Amino acid sequence: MSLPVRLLPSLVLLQFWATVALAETLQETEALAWLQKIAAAARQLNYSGTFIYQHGDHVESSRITHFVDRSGEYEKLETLDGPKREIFRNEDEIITLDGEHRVIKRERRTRRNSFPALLPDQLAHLTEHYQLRKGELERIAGYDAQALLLEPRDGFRYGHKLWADASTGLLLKARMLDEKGHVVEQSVFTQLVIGAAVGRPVPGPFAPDQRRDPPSADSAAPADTGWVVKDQPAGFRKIIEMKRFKAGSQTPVAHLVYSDGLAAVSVFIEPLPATRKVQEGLTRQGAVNIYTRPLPDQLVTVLGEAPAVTVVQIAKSVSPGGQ
Amino acid sequence: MEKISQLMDGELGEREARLQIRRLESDPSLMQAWDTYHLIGDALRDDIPLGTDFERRLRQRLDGEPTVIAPNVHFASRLVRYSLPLAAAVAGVAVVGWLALSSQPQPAPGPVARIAPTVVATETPATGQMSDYLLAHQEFSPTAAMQGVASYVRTVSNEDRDTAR
Repeated sequence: MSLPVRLLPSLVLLQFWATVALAETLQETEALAWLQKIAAAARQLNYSGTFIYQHGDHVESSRITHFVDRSGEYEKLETLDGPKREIFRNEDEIITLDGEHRVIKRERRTRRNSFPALLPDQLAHLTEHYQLRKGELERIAGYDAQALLLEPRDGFRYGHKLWADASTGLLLKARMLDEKGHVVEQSVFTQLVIGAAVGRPVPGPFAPDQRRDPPSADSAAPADTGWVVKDQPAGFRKIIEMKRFKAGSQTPVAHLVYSDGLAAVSVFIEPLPATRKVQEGLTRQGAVNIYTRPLPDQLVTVLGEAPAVTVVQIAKSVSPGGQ
Repeated sequence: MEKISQLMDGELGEREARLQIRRLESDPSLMQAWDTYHLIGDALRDDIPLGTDFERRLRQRLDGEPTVIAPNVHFASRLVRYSLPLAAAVAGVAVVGWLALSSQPQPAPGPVARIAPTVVATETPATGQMSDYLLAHQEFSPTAAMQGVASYVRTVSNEDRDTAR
């Protein structure tokens, strides 16, 4: 086999780029596997701990517990700072309690686990919109944590840095970054127990007579709502479309969800009575941007953990189908 | 996209600014991003009350300036009409004029007038409703799925914020 000598440098270079490309692909594959591990750990593990949630100047701590056994999945979050709040979930029932142990809301909802956390076909597209790579091993809340970096390839999504427990995959720390690298939102465990030592959480205690109220049964079912989003940013694909009904109401609220595999943006469209005046505008809650846009007799609410530009662009392009 | 953001913040040099403005003129999607950025800026700055004659006064004020640029849907046509001696100063002029005006005593707030596009964040939908929507959203959000129970904090925190008002 003889090759012209002058081709050799090119071949060496080609070999080099091939190696680099392969290394990148391996990094991505490994990072994707970590994401799936994180999502599975959140659902399958028993864990209980204190964590800090921060966005802007706002910092607060909460205690959370997740427990799963044959009888089902139990989740509980109680705030430790300021007015006490609690949210408890067992399968499809959610109870929200205030500081006086009074039930603010008790309702039945479609189970979260009826929908896969990370959709495989969405994950396949993730690398088109984010650069994924593994970071360093760090120590978080006493655990060895694997850092993962997801850098967006455009301004339509936030960057993420995740730290997962190296052995179980449980997410120990998460940070969302805007396009200038500023922290939009951050949460981190300061104390955490994983595994057999975690007991099943119970809601409450309740104030007297509080438990007798039957839960209100909201319902939601996949359906064609007749609404479309015509001009969503690249990579955001519709993952579900449904009609939601409040308990006792016959009036559907349309709910469409768009996702790039990591970030999700929800579109809600509800009837807007002529007596109710709503102004168009943007608000935010941590990393979640919320845009409300009144139409002549409908109210469009778009929200998601994505930059304002994404949420606004989606809100602006919501229109009745077939027009 | 980042360049457009820098252009809006007045962070670009003259040459680069001219280049970006040419890109704006030729690319409708960039123009839309430009509009959207301004719209977001407007909405985020909502804490400064604007009087009913704000727009008229701003226009008067800007007419006296050598360069006239206001974030506007018809921005492209204006770009053509007015010369642009120093594009990087554009955002600066608008902001300076705007700050100067807004620091003056304002008439009692009436219907809010704005530089187009008119978008004002005033009424947040009912607290209970928004919590409902957040919860419903999080059932389908991959980010929330990875956060597990911790993702509920947004819902709870939201209610705290609203009751504190």
